[in-house]
This record gives sequence, C-alpha cells and structure tokens, in this order.
Amino acid sequence: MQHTEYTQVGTGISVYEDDGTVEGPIVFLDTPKAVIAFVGSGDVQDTIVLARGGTTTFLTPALTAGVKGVVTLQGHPESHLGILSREYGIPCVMGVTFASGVRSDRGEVIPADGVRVRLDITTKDGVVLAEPGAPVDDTPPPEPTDAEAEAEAEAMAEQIQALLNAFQGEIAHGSEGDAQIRAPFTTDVMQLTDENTARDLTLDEANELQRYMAWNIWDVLALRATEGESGLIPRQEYECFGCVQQWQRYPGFYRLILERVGARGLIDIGATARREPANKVNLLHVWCSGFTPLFGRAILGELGIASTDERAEDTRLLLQFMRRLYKGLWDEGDMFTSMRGYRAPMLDQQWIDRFTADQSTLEDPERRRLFNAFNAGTEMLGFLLHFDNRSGLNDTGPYDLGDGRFMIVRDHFLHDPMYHWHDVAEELPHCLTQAMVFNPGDAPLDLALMDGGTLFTKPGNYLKHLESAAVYVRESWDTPASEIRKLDDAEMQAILDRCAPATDKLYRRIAGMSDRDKISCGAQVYYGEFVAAVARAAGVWEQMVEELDFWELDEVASQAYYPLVRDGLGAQLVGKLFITGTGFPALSDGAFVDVALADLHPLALRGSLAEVAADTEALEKAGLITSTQAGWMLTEAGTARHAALLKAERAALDDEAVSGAYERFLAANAPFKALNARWQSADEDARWALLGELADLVGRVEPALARTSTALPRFAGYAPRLKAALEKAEAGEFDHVTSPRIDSLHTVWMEVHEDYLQTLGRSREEEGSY
Amino acid sequence: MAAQTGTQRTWTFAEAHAPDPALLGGKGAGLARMVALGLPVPAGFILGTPCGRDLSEDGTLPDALIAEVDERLAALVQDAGRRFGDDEAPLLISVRSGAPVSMPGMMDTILNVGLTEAGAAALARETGDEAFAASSLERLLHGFATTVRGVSAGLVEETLLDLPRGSDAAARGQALLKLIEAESVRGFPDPRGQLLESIGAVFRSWDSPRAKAYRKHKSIDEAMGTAVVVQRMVFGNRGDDSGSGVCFTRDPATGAAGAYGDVLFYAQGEDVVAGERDTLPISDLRERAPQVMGALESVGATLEADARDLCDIEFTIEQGELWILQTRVGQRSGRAAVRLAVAFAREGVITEAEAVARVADEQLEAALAPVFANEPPEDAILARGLPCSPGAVVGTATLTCDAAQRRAQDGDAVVLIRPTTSPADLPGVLAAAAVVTARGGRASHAAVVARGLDKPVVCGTGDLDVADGETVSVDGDRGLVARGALELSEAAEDPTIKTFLQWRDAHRS
Repeated sequence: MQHTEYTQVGTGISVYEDDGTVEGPIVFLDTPKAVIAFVGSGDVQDTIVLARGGTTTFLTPALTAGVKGVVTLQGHPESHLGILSREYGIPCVMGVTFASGVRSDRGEVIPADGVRVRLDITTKDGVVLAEPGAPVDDTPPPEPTDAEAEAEAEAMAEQIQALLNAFQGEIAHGSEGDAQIRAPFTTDVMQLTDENTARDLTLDEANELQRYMAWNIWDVLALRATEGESGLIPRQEYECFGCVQQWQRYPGFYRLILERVGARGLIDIGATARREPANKVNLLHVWCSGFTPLFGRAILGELGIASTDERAEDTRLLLQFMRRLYKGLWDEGDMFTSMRGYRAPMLDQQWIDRFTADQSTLEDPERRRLFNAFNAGTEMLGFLLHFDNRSGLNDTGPYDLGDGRFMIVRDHFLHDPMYHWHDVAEELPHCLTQAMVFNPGDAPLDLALMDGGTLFTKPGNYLKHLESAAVYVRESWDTPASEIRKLDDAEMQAILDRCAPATDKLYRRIAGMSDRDKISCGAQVYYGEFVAAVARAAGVWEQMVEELDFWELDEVASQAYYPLVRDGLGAQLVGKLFITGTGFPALSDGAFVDVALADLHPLALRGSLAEVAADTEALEKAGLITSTQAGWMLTEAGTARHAALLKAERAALDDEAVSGAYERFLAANAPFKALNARWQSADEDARWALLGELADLVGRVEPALARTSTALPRFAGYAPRLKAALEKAEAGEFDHVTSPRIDSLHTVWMEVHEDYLQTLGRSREEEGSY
Repeated sequence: MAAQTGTQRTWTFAEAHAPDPALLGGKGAGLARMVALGLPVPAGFILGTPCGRDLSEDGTLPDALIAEVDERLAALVQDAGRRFGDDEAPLLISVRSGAPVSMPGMMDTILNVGLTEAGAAALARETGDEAFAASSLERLLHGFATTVRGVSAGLVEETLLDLPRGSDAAARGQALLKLIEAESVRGFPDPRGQLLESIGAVFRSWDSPRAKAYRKHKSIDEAMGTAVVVQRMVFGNRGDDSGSGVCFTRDPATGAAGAYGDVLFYAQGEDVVAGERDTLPISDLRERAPQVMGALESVGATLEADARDLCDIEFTIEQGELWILQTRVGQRSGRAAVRLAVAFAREGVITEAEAVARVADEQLEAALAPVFANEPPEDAILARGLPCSPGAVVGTATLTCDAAQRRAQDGDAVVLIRPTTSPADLPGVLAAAAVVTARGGRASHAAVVARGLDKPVVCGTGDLDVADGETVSVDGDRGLVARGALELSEAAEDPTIKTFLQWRDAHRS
C-alpha cells in the first residue's frame, strides 16, 4: 500500500493482520489516571492510544470504551494486551520503535499527542505512519555517558535476542524444540503411566522433567518477558512474591490433599478437566500447580535466601503432584500440549456433542457484534478480577468437526468468593463457557493451544473465521456440572451490561490502591488460585483456610518481599529466569534419599534396631531415623514416610491373596498365644510336652508365610527364623520360646503378626487381637 | 468284664484304685486319682502302657484289645446318656497321650472323636449353634488328618489356603474331608473307626523321631511306653448355664485364702486360656450359679487336702453341671510361695521344715521386693484390670514409647500405658518399670513380653483417665492401677515373711 502523504515513523509487530488501515489522532497514556481522564474525554472511539507496556489491564477502560487502535512501545502479540486487542478486534501494533517524534518524560521517542497516525497491519510487520508536519524534537538523545557501557548494553540486548530465538541458544520453539529437548532424555518421566504416577520420582526423572519445564515455560512465555511494565499492576513483582509464598506453603497443602484423597484420588481430581468445562481444575491450573511454586524455589535461590537443593523432597512432591493431575487430565501418555502438537481437545465427547447441537450461527452482523463484545468484555473483566494474570481464561481444543471446521471451548472465570475485591462481580456468574466453531475455509490458519491454556493462531485474527457459537453459564464454583446451562442472547446482553460497570469500578479501585496493596492482592490470586480448586475437590479447602491460616504470609516469603519488590529485583529475576531457562535448576546428586520400604520397615516393625541394614548416614541426614539409647528409631518424618511407602505398596498389592493367607495365620495365632501363656506358667516337665505343640503351630503357619512371600518377598524370612528359634528351644534353650530380648518364637511370631497388620493396613483394635 | 487283673489292659478311671503312672501314664493316673477323691470327672478309660507293645507294624490294635475297647465304649454310653456313634445324639470323646513323663513329639490330644457330618448337623440342631457344630467337626478333621493320618500340616494348610477368602468352618470341614479322602483309600471313618485309629496314632507317636531323640537325649527308657486316655467330652458352650474356667484354691499372686480364678460363660476352655475374650472373676460364678460355686469350692478343699498344696483346677460347666478336667499343683508368685508355705504349716498340713523346703531362693528374693501395704482407697483406683505379671511400681504415667525412653534415661520410674502393644513398643516396654494396656488379657503379647522381663503388668484396664506425667501406682498382684503414690511396705517387715525367715534360719543348718 502506498502512503503518499503520511511518513513512516515507526515499526513493530501487528497483533493480527487485516486489509484495512485505521487512522486517527494518537494520545500517549502513561498512568492509570491519564487513562481514566482519557475515557472521560469523549473522543475515545476516534483515537489511537499509545501505551508503554503490553500488559492487559492498564488499558482496560480504553479497550472497553472502544478506541480506534493501540500502539505500544514494549511487548509482543502473545502478551495479554495482544490477546485482548485481538478479541476486541482493535488494530494493534506492539513493540514499536519510533524513528522520529517528540520525547516522553523518560526520553522515549514518541509521536506528539494529537498527531494523526495511520496503522498499517496488512502484514505481520506493523507500520505506524504520521501525518505530514508532525512535530519533531531534534534535540539529540541524551549523550551516552559511557561508550563502553553502551556497547555492553548493546551486546546484552543482542544476547537476549539470541536467547529469545533459541532456548539457551540451542533449542527451537514449537514441536521441533520439543523433539530436541527430549532427545537426550533417558527416563520416561514425560510419559504419564500408572506405574510412574504411583511411586516417587527418581532424581533423574525429576531433573529431566525440570529441564523440560524450563524449555516449556520459555516456549510459552519467553516472548512475554518483553511485554514490559504494566501501568496499573506491578505484575512481575506480585508473581515472583506469590511464587515464593507458594513454594513455602504448597508442599504442606499438597500433603494434606494426598492424605485425604490418595494418589488415585488426586488423579481423579485431575480428570475433572475432561469431565467438565467451567472448572478451575483445568489446563492452566494444572500447569501452574508445579511450575509456579518451583519458580518460587528458583527465586529464593537467586536471592541467596535458600539453595535450590534445600527441601529436595518438596520439589519431588510438587513435581509428582502436578504429574498426577496431568495423569487425570490426559489419562495417559504425553504430559504437555507442547508434546501433543499444541492440541488439547480434552473434554468428553458428550460435551462436544451437546455444544455442537446448541450452535447458532453468527451470520447476522448484530449477533456477531454481540458475541464479539461478550467475548471481549467478559475476558477483560476476567483478567482484571484476577489481577491481570491469565488464570481467568482457559481454552481447550481444537475439537475437529470435519470439513475443516473445528471447535474451541473457552472459559472466562469471573466471580470467586475467595477474593474480597470480587464484590464488584457479585452479580456475575463464576464462569462463562463459549463453545466456538471456526471455519477457516481455504485460508491457512495455524493453531497452537499452549500449556497455559491459551489459543494462539497464525494469522492472529481468527475471530473472523468464527462461524457459530453457543454460550453457557456456571453460576458458582460449586454449581454441579449437570446444571451448566446455555445462555440466550438476552442473557448474554444482560451479563455484558453488568460487566462494564464492574470493570470500571474495579479499574478505578485498583488505580487508587498503593503498590503494596496491589501486590498483596495480586499475590493472593497467584497463591490462592493454583491450589484452591484441587483443595475444594479434595474437601480440604475450608480446613486450609480456617485451621491452617492459608492466607497468612509465610516468614520466608515476607523476608523475600523487600529485595523482590522494594529493591526491584523481582521484575529482573522473572525475565532472567524465563529467558535463560534457569527457573528449574537440576537437583544435585544425592538430593533425594531414595528410601525403599525395606529400609524403614524393620524399624517400624520392631521399634528400634542396633543396626540398620540401609544407608544409615543418608537416612539420618534425611531426618528419617535417629539414634537413641535403645538403638536406631524412626523419627516422626520417618514414620510418615514409612506409612506412605506402605500405602504405596498396598495399592499395588494382591490384597486378596495376602488376606487369605493372613486368615490362616490368625487361625494359628490364638492357639499360639494361649500356648505362650501356658508355657510361662509351666514347669520344665510340662514345657517339654508343649514343645510339640509349638512345633505343630510353626509347621502350620509355614504354608501361609510361603504364600504371602510370593506377593511380599520379605515374608520369606520369617519361617527360617521361627525354625531357628524352635530348634534352640528343642535343644533345651527355653529362653527361645518367649524371651523378648532375643529372636524367640514369640518375638518373631509377634513381628509376623505386626507385619501382616501393617501391610494390610489393619489395627489390633479392629481385629480384637492383642 | 473281660478285663482281669494281670492280663487287664484297660481301666476305667474308677477301677484304677492305686494309680500307677508307669502303667496309666501321668495324665491317666491324675484322672484316676481325682475319681478316687470323688470329684466329678467326665467318664473315661485308660489303655495302659503295655498295650503299645502289642500293636502291629501298621499301628493296628490287636483284636482282643479292640474287643475290650468296644466293651468300655458300651459302658461309656450308659454313663453319659448319649451314644457314641449315634448321629442323633452323638457322644464325643477325646483321645490323649499319657506317657509317664512329658516329652516333645508325642501326639497330644485329638478332640471331638465320634463326630460325623450327620452328627454335626444334629449338634447344630441341639445347640442352635451351627458355627459351633461346624468348627467342632473341622477341629476333628484337622486333627485326624494331621496327627492320625499323618497328612503334613503343610498340605493341610495349602488346601485351606486354596479356599476363597472368608470361607467358614463348614467350608473348611468339607475341604478337609475331601483331603482325607484323597489322601487315603480308607476315607474318613465312622466313629468307631475314628477312635481305633486315634488310639493307634497315639501309640505310634511314642516312636516319632522327635520323641525318640528326646528320650535318647534324656536317657529315658525306650520300653516305658505311653498310655492312652479316652474320655467323654463336656462342653461349656451349650448355653448360658454352661461355661469354662480356671480356678486356684487360693490367690496364686498373694497367697490370700479363698478361691481365685477366671470364668467365661458360654465358652470352651480354650477361650479362657487364649485370652481373646475378657474373662470374668470367679466371684461372678458365685452370683450366677451358687451351687456350682459351692461344688467347686468343695472340690478345691478336697484337692488341697490331698495335695497339701495350692492347686489349680480346669473346669467346665455343662448345662449347670460341674466337671473337673484337670488339676495341678498351682504355680505361684514368690510372695505367695512364702505366705502359702507358712499358712499350710500353721494349718498343720505340712511341717515347718517342709514349708522352708517349698520356697526356692528366687521365690524368696521376689517375695522380699516391696509391696503395696494395702488395697488403695476406692477413689484413687483408676482401673481394675487383669493381674498379668506381679510386682509393685510407683512411677510416671507415660503414654508414648519415646517419652518412656527419655524419662527412663533421666532416671524416672516409668509406667508405660498403651492401648495395646505392638513389637514397635518393645523399646518402651524395656525402658518401663511397669506396663498397663487397655486391651488384651494374660495371653496378649504385652503380657507375655512383660512376664518375660519380670515386670509388673496389668492388662485389659479399658481406657484410662490419666494424663501423661501423672504419678500412678501399678499393683501387678491385684491388677490395679491407682492415682498417686501408694504406700509401699518393706516386705521384710511383713509378719508372715518374718516368721518364714525365722523358720528358714532354724531349719537351714
């Protein structure tokens, strides 16, 4: 296209491409106050606004008021603002560098307010043109004080660019990168199986998964790292602070959840994402259940507050907790959408069938306008209610409908009673679900559904391919999925009408908050969001809030607040960790004590032992055993670990076979105990006769022990010990019948009984057997 | 009667007037002695030790002996009012070995001989207790398969393990019956066949490798042989007017006068010993069946006069009728040993010299340990449980094994109080001076362990209202747990013990 009169003044990236151009006066908005004043001015819909950063919410009122175009100095189309401007259908060019213009008060070159500009978004390379005679400030830019430093900064910028193009300078974005990063992996940790979600992860597995996570988050977000600052909400500050708080407290909550529902129960909670839309147990939240708390660990490492090797068992727990949710979410196989060709069509077919049947066409321009406004308006408010992060949005799909048509199912989450500022949205539902059917026809449309639960397309404006839609509502987070219902146009309009004042009210409220308030609320979202839905499903959320002081700040998180926020390290660290792929540092060799049940079980059975067969030093260092006068004993942590290992064993155990054998053991147990009591009050002569009965009883339990040992090899050790004790007794060493100080018949027998009880998870009280 | 003195091979309990253990075995001689004393003993007869020498190679009894057994059986029928081999009102009998000395490897007892499937059905009708009838038959089949037919315990267990989980006694009985049939062409015999085979098996067990090895080791005469005791069985589970128990003629822990023991109504004797059910004190029997209690006390008096010592009595009450199964000189604590010796001497039953000889050095040593002077006031008593191991301790109530170890290290006397004990509690038990458990009886692991460690233990107290760290007293003799520190008295100050020590000095020269 020719621009005969206008001159090109800047270039950036078009958020989406369109044939038309837009033109209008430009105005630079650099504070929330300026935004509020602007939307009150009246000329909004003819104006093109210029903002510094690429975050969403800062420009919210301008977007909802319907500006003509948006230009930013920083940021990238994958950022929130990019997403939103696309949804609103507002032409937007991001990351623009202006060649000429006037200077902002920070020295940036920008067009002067009121200058008419034209946005050309016919290609991905967006162009900004200015009318003839636009003011130009020719004063030279501030002299570089130090040429060397400038060169250094330039080199740094180059390096950053290289790191943005290829992960750690080596690995590509997309499916190609997925293959590259996984090529050297030796474990199958990236595959979700029954086996590897039932047990603890090995160190190699944990480190390979973390390596992948570093690439995956880079793949999703590295571009966003340059989205720049938000004028409204200091997001990176609250994100990193919230991550630290997560790292400090999530492991305890995860253990509580596991204690309540078990590993299988957790997997079942993960499967919610398949069973129902409009639930926050979804792609984004499952992703964050592991990524964000572990990011907090890396931040503490960067701050020098704690080594990333500390609490390695918590890292292990978080990784496996996330994997179990993914196991439910996908059922099996590849863990991330980046491994699945960026496709996430996870909802059960019955939902897709229902959504397909409910579709109504958007041919009528009025209806299309309503839908577009609804989509953008609810999304906007969702972002604002979640303090400018994407947890209010989740996409699944594409669901192939044949003939090149496909469906995307999108949730916009609004009201949630766990956040106090959601009072502005009290009249609005918890979630709105849009089932959207696209028909790109002959136009090529590349889709990528990222692990963060957001759809990206090339070209970016996919909405023009939207053919039909159906919209649903879930009134409250605990509304049963069976009561998710379809909205008609009038209801959509009513919701939209309520969204606008709520958005306006909340924007003004946030604009009036101190930074500390904003960070506190934002961190509440980050911290509450990624555990609450799972905790609610597990039935422990109220306990967490009421008994476990969920909303209280952790001491270490508080300690991290000043360096992260006041000293401004947070924003630097977030970008650095994303870009350099160092957010998930590998754990050192020996970080996990790989404890097997066999290491702790003898101690659990006997209480104390003079010698432990396993690596005593490692077990002691891990705080699982302790030395006492009576010998080595399990600590509280050791007892808990033992219980968890036993539980895992039980999950894989042929309970039927072992229980059957145990019944036969019990049949011999009562006579054995009676015999012991008789033995203790018998004289020597009578004891000789009792030995025969003891021998019979030992012979009687041997087959049960042998059968048990086919399922549980450790039971093979008991018969030889019983026989050894019996032999001694038969040789006249009567101590070997009941003495508690040696491996007597009674000692071994009691241990067998205890082993059965522990293995099968029964109590003596339950059985009436003492 | 065919049995003639000299050639006589079998004796009813009543016929054996001068019980000779060499002929009748220890058990048989004991039963004969009780009958001679006029005690109510279930009827039965003894096959003397010489019978074993007449057995054929395969353990078959000689015809003449079989004829004698048949005659004895016929007499038993008349005694009992039930008929051996009658499937409508079966008479069940036990067959036991009775060697002159005890030894390992001897077949001990085979119970419920005479029961058949039809008999079990009749028993179920009669008692209204199908489980009891089925388990009686199972028990017979189990014993018959392993000890009579010599089917290995391993094979029997494998068969039972193959049954579906949760199979009942009837299913186990069926499986055992099939096993017996599969293992032998003879199958499972009729009541008479059961009895004859069982008798043969007892005699054969004299020659079991284990018994032989023992005799060699102890230089016991191979020619001694064993007797066999055949006796009518009585049942303590034939209704609420039935029961079983163990009774001492005096308190074996303290030596105090008066019957002492446990009883369980509607229960077999093994239920009392097994400790799986909470027994009642013998005083309950006085309330529930005063005549039976009176009869039991008179039995006790007779036995004490005969043995001139403390006796324990295993008894069963079958539909209101008292039967004595076994009696022995009773085991006793050290303190009781001293008190009983003095008491019997003062009663003129034994001499002072005999009294001194009856108390072993370790018993005296135990008797000299401090004891609680008096029973504590009622409001101090936290619980009454089963006195499972004697002794007196004042210490710190301690609810966890960790704390027990810590306090013991600090030199505290620890009273470990647990709901039950498991092997993992052993470090705590070792550290404790006394142990109290809320559940379980004399045969519980806790009791066995604490006795093995000579520590006072009280079991079956129920849940205690006691705080960790409180001072409590445990009286292992009386089975009491009390709040606070009870007064201990120096045993040597006790007049009875003083007397005994004087006698001891006088008679030891």
